[in-house]
Amino acid sequence: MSTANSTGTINVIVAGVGGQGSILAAHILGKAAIRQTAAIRQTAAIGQTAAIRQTAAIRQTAPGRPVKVRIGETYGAAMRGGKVFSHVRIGDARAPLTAEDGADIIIGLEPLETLRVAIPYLSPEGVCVVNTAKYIPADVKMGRAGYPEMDSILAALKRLGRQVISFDATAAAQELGRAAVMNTIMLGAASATGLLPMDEKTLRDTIAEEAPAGTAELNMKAFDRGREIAQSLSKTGAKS
Amino acid sequence: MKDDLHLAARPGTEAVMLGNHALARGAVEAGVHLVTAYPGTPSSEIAEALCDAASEQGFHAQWSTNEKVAIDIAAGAALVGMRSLVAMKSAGLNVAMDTFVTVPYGGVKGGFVVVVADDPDAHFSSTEHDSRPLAKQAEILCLEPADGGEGKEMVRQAFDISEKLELPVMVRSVSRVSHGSANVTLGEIRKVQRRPHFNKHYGFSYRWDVYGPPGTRFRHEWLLRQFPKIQAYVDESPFNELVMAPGGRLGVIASGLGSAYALEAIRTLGLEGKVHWCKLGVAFPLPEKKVAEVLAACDTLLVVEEGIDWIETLVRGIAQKTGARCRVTGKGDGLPIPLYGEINTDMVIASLAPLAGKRAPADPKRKALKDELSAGLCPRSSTLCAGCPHLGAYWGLRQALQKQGKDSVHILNGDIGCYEQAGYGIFAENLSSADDHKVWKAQSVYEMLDTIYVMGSALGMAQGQSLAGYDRGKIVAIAGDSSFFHGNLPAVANAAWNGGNVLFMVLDNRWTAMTGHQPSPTTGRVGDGRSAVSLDIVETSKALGVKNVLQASAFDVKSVKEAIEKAWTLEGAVIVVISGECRLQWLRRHRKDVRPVTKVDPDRCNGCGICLPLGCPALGLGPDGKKTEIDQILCNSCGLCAQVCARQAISAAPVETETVKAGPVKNEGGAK
Repeated sequence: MSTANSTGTINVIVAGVGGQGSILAAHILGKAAIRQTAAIRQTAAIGQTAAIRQTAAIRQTAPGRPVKVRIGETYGAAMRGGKVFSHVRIGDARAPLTAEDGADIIIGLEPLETLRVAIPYLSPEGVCVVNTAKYIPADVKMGRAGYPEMDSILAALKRLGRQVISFDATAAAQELGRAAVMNTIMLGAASATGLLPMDEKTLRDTIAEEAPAGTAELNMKAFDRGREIAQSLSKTGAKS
Repeated sequence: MKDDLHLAARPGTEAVMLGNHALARGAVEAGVHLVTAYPGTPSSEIAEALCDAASEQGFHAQWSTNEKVAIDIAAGAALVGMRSLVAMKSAGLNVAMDTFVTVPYGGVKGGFVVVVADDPDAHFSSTEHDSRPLAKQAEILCLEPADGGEGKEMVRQAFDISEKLELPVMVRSVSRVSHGSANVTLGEIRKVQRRPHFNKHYGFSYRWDVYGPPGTRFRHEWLLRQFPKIQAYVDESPFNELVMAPGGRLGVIASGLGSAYALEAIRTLGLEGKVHWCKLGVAFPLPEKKVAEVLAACDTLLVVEEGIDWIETLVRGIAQKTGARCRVTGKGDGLPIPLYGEINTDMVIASLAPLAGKRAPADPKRKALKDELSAGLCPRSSTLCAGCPHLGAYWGLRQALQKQGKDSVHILNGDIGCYEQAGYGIFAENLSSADDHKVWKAQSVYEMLDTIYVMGSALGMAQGQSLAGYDRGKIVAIAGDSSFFHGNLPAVANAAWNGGNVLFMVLDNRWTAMTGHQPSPTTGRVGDGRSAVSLDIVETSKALGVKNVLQASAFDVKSVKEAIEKAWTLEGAVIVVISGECRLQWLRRHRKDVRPVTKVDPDRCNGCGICLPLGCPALGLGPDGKKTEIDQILCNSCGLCAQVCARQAISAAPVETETVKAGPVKNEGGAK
């Protein structure tokens, strides 16, 4: 469980390409934070604050102040295929965007876009959880630019932050039968880092509630699969 | 049913809401009776959510044909005593300007709220245009929220304030407030039971009659007499905040979103309680006494705001008036907060730190690392979607243009809509103005458009180029169905009337797609989902006096090319209506029926690359860079690439299209 940075806020950035579900993933984080806060209030009211140890992290973010959630999104004019960055700020946040070098964790649904947002925003102490499946830009498809080598992207992320956890989440989603749950797999992996200021149950409950009709079960599987992969990568030291 | 406004939740509940939804919720909590809007990013979700909520909550909400019509309808409702709201983007306020500056002369009876979402950094706009000074032009109150939660409160209270002042109230949002999300505490939903009322005596403030005595100047005097009431409200407004720092000589005044960045900067620099702090939720007029108090206490005052140096200029005026000797600094004063683009916390830190005698944090080694890594990035240019009908329209135009003389320089004028992406370029290319002597050829659909100004301007500009005698190439104007009815009708009439050899392509994809697929006048639906008449662009054009109106299907490239070539044999303004429904909307109804059937035969494909400039994001060179491949996840089976390939190496199923179900009008989108 993390502690808040100097501004009393935990900053998460979800990076991806339009159509990958990054905005939904970001909103799940924001909603989970509010749900967690409500849980804290409830336990405080019945005198069991200590019982839920993990929820303390969310209170640490802003001692004595109500928890604020801010989500700032940047995306272009394209309906599909454009770069999308969502800054999710939990704690005592006011501004919609993280300050430079301020992201505690980047959840990267696409490697190139993860690097693009990590350069200005990743904290030197920050962690990247990144899907290695490329979403090739039109510039490359038309033969007018080259996609950077995956190794160099991961090495660059490593130089910018403290830790990189990388795996092919799109393939993992396809194994579960639906490429669209890639974003949930990534949320699971991010949750396994212990850096998110909400506990696993709150995240699961929020995902179940926010998932499109009829997909709650599949999304639960995806969340667990993401956790499993990230945990096994951490154990085997396969994280770069 | 989706409940973006959390109408089913109990008051007091905390919810994470999109800024625009929070603004919309404020209107519902205030018991709004009528809502109008024209879609425009970043404002569209306000009316979208209100259209969804309208029938259940018992108010009227509509997408109007443009912002001028929208503001007139909302004003009409306010004149008969009902609570109305009109929402638009910054450019929309320009369209609505005539009414916006005139209604205050008459005053209103019912609460009238004008929500304008500006777009600093022009993420989705032709300009960065700051709407706040227009509140001064109209001599009305302008509120400016720092986030969605405050925005909800402002919209809610704006109706009461408007009724008290008998004037419209403007609420100015920006992209990051409208498109950002924040936790919001839901309030009670108030039902305001009211019957529309009107009376014929000109003396009533809501009934301004420009002809009748005593006339315009008298009404302007009346408007100015309201101003002290506005000022009195502002002085006590809960949206302004003043926290003095005893003994401090440095102050910060920050408005709207600027206050969010400024607060974080102050905190980061450890200046909380050490600088005088004035947060403004009102952008016009300013709370003069509060500002004067800060000015009197400071040697230096930093103004932080999103947009132009509007607050800064007003604060300087107050300083002059009160004889303050304080240096007022900000965007207009050479600090590292430029007058263009958006501000952020880092810019405020960099500006504030030296004023406070602190060093702004800087790490040259990290900066060098970032520069090194940035150089290795590759761009991701904006594209049209896979299967977009505009791809077919542009390919047909490209083929027709390629048959013209080699030295021709055609001018392609674009209106505002998805199709404008044909002018965005491929970012990987670096052109320089030193190369002006060369004849440039568009290498792909994304380099075709030459001008993209504002809604309704393409046709007029094309007409002007023609009447000025431009003869080095063809002159084309391109607009969509929604923009056709938004701003092009007068231009079409003018082209029919005044002449000029212009080809006007209208790409009818049946939706206002770029702003999120709101219904357009051709959809056959209105905002709340009910069926409606589907307006016919061909018949409308003819009725406006255009003699030659041709038709083609966007999913049949040959039909487009032939229609354009035919148009060029005709004199005067010629309209070619190219129909084909937005593929994303079509897929929402037909996802189940679509199979990945578009395939490249690797034996036939010789890697000539002729298909790549089509610009479909599903098409690309394979890993070896030698043959075309189709991304089976992205492909939406439109079949356009098969029509483009010269070697019949791409096979596709015949295109299936059909019109919107709710629409009563015959299908013009069908290809075959």
